[in-house]
Amino acid sequence: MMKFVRSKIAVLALVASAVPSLAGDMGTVKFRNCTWCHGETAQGYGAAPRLAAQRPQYIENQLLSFRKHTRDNPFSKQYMWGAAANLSPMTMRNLAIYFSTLPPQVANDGDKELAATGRALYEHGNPDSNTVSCAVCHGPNAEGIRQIPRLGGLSYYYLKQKLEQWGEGYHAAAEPPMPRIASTLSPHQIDALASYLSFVK
Amino acid sequence: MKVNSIRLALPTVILAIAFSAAGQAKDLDRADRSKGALPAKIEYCKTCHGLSGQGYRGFFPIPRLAGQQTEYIENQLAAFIERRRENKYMYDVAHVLSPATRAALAKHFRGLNARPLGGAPRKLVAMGKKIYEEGVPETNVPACMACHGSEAKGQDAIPRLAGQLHDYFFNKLVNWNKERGQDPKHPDISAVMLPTSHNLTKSQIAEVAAYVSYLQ
Amino acid sequence: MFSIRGQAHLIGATQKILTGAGVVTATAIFGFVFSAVTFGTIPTANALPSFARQTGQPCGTCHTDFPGLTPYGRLFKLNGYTAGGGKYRSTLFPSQSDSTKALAAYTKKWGSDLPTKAPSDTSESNPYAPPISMMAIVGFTHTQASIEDSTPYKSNDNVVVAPVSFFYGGAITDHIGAFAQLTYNNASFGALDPQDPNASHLWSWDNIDVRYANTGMIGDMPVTFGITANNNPSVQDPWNTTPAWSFPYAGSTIAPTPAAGTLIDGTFAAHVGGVGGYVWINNLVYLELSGYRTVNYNALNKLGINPFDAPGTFEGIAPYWRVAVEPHWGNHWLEFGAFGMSARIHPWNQNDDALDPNGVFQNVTLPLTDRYTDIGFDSQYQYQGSNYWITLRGTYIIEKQTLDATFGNDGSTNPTNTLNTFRALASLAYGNDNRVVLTGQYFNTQGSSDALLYVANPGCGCSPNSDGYIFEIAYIPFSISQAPGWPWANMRVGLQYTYYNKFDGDTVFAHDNNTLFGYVWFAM
Repeated sequence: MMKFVRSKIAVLALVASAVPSLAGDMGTVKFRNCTWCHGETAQGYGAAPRLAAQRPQYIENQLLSFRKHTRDNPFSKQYMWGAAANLSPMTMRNLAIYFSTLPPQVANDGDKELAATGRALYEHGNPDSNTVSCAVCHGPNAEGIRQIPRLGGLSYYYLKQKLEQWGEGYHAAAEPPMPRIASTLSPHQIDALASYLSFVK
Repeated sequence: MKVNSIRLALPTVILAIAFSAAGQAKDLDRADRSKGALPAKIEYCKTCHGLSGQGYRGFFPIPRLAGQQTEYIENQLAAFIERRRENKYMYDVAHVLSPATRAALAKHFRGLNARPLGGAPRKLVAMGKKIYEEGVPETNVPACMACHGSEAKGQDAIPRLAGQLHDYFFNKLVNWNKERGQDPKHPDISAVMLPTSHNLTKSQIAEVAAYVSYLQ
Repeated sequence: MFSIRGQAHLIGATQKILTGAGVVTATAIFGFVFSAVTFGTIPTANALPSFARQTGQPCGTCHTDFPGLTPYGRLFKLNGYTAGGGKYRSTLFPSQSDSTKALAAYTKKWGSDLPTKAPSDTSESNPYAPPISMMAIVGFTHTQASIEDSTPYKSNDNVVVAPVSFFYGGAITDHIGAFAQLTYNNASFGALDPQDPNASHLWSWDNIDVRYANTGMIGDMPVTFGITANNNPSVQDPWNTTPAWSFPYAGSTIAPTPAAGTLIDGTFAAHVGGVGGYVWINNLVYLELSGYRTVNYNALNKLGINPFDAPGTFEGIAPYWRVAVEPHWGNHWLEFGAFGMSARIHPWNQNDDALDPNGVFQNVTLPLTDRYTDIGFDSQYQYQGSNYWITLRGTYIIEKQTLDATFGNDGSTNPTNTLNTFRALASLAYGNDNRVVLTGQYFNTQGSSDALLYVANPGCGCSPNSDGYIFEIAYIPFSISQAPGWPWANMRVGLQYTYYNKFDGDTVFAHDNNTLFGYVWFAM
């Protein structure tokens, strides 16, 4: 009864006031708010990357960076700034943890011919162009650790876009060396890396 | 015309030197970023070892190089290249470096002085200090201090341990003979650590690791 | 398009002219409004800031050629308009937090081996804001030839505020959402006939789509499924290739437009009520089956609709079906599909002997039925660039008419007719948040000539054929968080030009109907 009366009053109050509510940000934890773009099982869809089986600290850091607007590539700005604007740190953590428990599906959408080149690049880097081996941070199987993201099985299109955009000067969340590393890569190398990783289980 | 270009050239050169000394990638203009040049190589090392050489915890712990003994760094780089010390990532990186470059890199990192990354369990430090300063007589482990110095800063070919990542330190000691001395025909200085690493227990190694990791 | 279907007495209806008290300036919103529904053609301009409040997303996330949808907009619709993420919730009661589910998943996967701090049970909830929006379009219309009998308007260059609508758009519960539009009209077309009870509806219901949606798995394929209750066949469709939500989304409410149109092309919009079920499998395949009945005469009047604006009433239930397949890869989406509807219609009996003593139409239909069967084929391609969208759409609807009732009533020369419509469109939405949209569309309606059915059409062709082009450029000046008071208000400025090569079977005077339409579309 009280709840009903309270909501009625709330409705009246809102209708009466023309000023938007200034309630502090909370953000109910609702998976649906993420899965409507990232896919029901969080495997990704279009520009939205797979979240399933991603490192939870990585997801949390990204959400924070969207909120602070540090991560600024065009799709982040269009979709994620609004999505993260109302999330409290606790909500971000809850969401990140949940998605990290979901089983991943491998995208398998890269160019198979380039996979071998990509693998060599991933494991050995390219000393001549001062490109470090990705495996040192991201793990021999692209599984990631702590706040370093899992790359294995992400979509070729997503990985390629990220690497290209870092090379163009867009910022990463926090302070990883990724923009610098990406700028040492040629377009062909980016293609190869992204292809290889899209097949990694 | 000629006068103008000289006048412009001087400030440009000064700027270029200033920036290359700092070694900050984004300040270098394109001409200085030729891939073999020292500044580019320094930046290359720092991608993994940290912008101040403080080390980094990737999938593998990547060691601190800041303040490290030049002779030690040069020895290790040579060991990686000759496969006396086995690490495929460091082999990839090192085998394209000329001896002169390696010396220059070592000198650069010797001059850095970053704060330790920290992160080791504090409760191990006291025991670690004891082992570091007194050794473990029962198992014939000499005091580390005797060679590595009371402040763990090392000298000549003996490495600095102060501020080293505790997880890196632990892994190396535990796996000493799996990684070092891989070429029996050419035994190297790493053999000196073999009995020590063998005689220390894992928990003792963890304790020493924790202790040195907090040293400045 | 509103089809005449042999109702000779409804000729005047083909050129619906708004009656009202004259010209309005842009500041007077509740002025002269024409119901988009009775006109049939302009499917509804809609702008839903209430969706923006609920999701926290700017317009360009879901819309390309506003209100045409991006793939994300389609997902939002398929999930029942319930996705949130914004500062406000639209659900009547706070929805249960998923945090306990997060904790359960976490414990199951890692037990005591903690990669990070455990999630905590939170029962935070957002403040409630009812998902009410409104819109008003102020439009300037210039036709190539002035219109002779144009009262109460000037013969050309009119400014009209129409439509003005209120919307409930958003979630009602976690799984039920609605898009419901209520449009304010002024008195109806032509000269006011005080004897006509249908002449002066003020409010009418407009597009309504109420859905229940949920998700599940078939094997390892995600499935979204739902039930839709709506009042306009194809309003529930997520692709903008079916009639209800197809371009042009806003248009002049007073310019003449071709009369002929298929059954599914808005002819019974807001005259019917229907329920259907759909599934969206693995983000690839869409299947839907719905059924519609015409709403009864008295109820339609109460809902503000003039029942005689549609050809008649359905016998029984008219089925509507829809299949679509939309593979996507990288930034490309390619949809191809088909849809259809079939109805048996009792046409209104408007023979002289069926009129009432005042000459007003009565709620009487012919005993026989005309049978209409529509099959449409559609395709849409979308490409997403870093700050632009390219969309290509094509739709081809084939209709077969078996006019037992109309032919039997001497309303048509042929016992059967065909009527086909084809539309092809290309649009570019460009800039931050898709602010600038350029669209070009080719349209072509072709059908059997029929001297009695199309007797009103000019020339001797007596054919329903029309074809031409529409070009539009539109601009949303306030986009991502730049509008003063976003997401509480927004606007779109547009200029649209319609060129007729052939109009109602005639090419000679077709160009007279060429229309330039400039508009400002307000929404809050």
